[in-house]
Amino acid sequence: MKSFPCVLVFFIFSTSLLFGQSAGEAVLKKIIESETNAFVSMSLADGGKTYWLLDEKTSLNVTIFDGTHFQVRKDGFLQNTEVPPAGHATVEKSNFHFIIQGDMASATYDQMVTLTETGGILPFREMPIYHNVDDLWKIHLSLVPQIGQ
Amino acid sequence: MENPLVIGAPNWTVAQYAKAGKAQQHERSIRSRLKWLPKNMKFTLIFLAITLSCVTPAFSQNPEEVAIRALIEAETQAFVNHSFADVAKMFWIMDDKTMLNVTGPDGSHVQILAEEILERTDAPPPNHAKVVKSNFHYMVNGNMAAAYNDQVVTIQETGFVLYSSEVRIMEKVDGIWKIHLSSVHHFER
Repeated sequence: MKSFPCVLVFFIFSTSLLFGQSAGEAVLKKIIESETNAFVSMSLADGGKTYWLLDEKTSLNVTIFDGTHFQVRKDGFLQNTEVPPAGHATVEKSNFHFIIQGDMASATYDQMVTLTETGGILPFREMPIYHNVDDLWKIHLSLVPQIGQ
Repeated sequence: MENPLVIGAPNWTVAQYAKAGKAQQHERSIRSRLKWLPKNMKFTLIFLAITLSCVTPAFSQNPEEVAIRALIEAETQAFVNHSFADVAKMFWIMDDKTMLNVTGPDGSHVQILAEEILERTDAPPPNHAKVVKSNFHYMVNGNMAAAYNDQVVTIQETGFVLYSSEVRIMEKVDGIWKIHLSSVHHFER
């Protein structure tokens, strides 16, 4: 039984290598997935407090190709306490790409958001930037541009 | 508004841009203070010396941020006049992680990796666009950094104006900041 954790760690490590992913990338990918799940079910304030590093440098930048462009800073996160309807969207991600140097990292990936009510699909190409704080990766800045299908 | 790209020449190095940028910043700082000085020359000189020694550090930017800003301005200036391949060779790290993501205001999008960047050897007409950047903020952590900025590009021939929000990921190689990944998202106002 004692050897089980070692076997598990070895299995995860081997699997990561098999798929060409470093341990750091695997951790970041897991955070990206859970942050997205939170984003679909939590308020921006709660998602921000859980997954983001909220300070004077924090910014979420969204660009929609109808010309909408907005930047949410720390205060904007904390003021947005409205919780979205449960299960209002599903999200699929692909085309991951990471750069990790010490306590800083960036990721890029494509994201398809499907709105449950209308079936509408919104594709985005996202780019979050992370800092490692007390052994936890936190998002500090993110670019969320909508792209054509 | 002052065009931050007027300094330098296309063949300048990042170090030259950084030096010129610092000199320009220093000159602006002195000029703004001279307006408020009394006419007595002796008092003026003493007051100037004390003011400069006390106030300049308060307004000075982090040296890494200054170097990163210089790199971004130099890269943009080069982009207006040179092929993308040449720009990348001057200012980018070119490896399997190199990436440029661009979205157009109509939702068009491209993702270009190192190999394709090096194939883009067509140079644009010289000074075909005027570029003004603003709203910079920086994140520097050891040898990695990110910078966000807004950008307004005016195409000289048509007067067409394009707005974008940009993030560059940079890494320090042998003491010099280089761009590794850039994400540029255009929108219309």
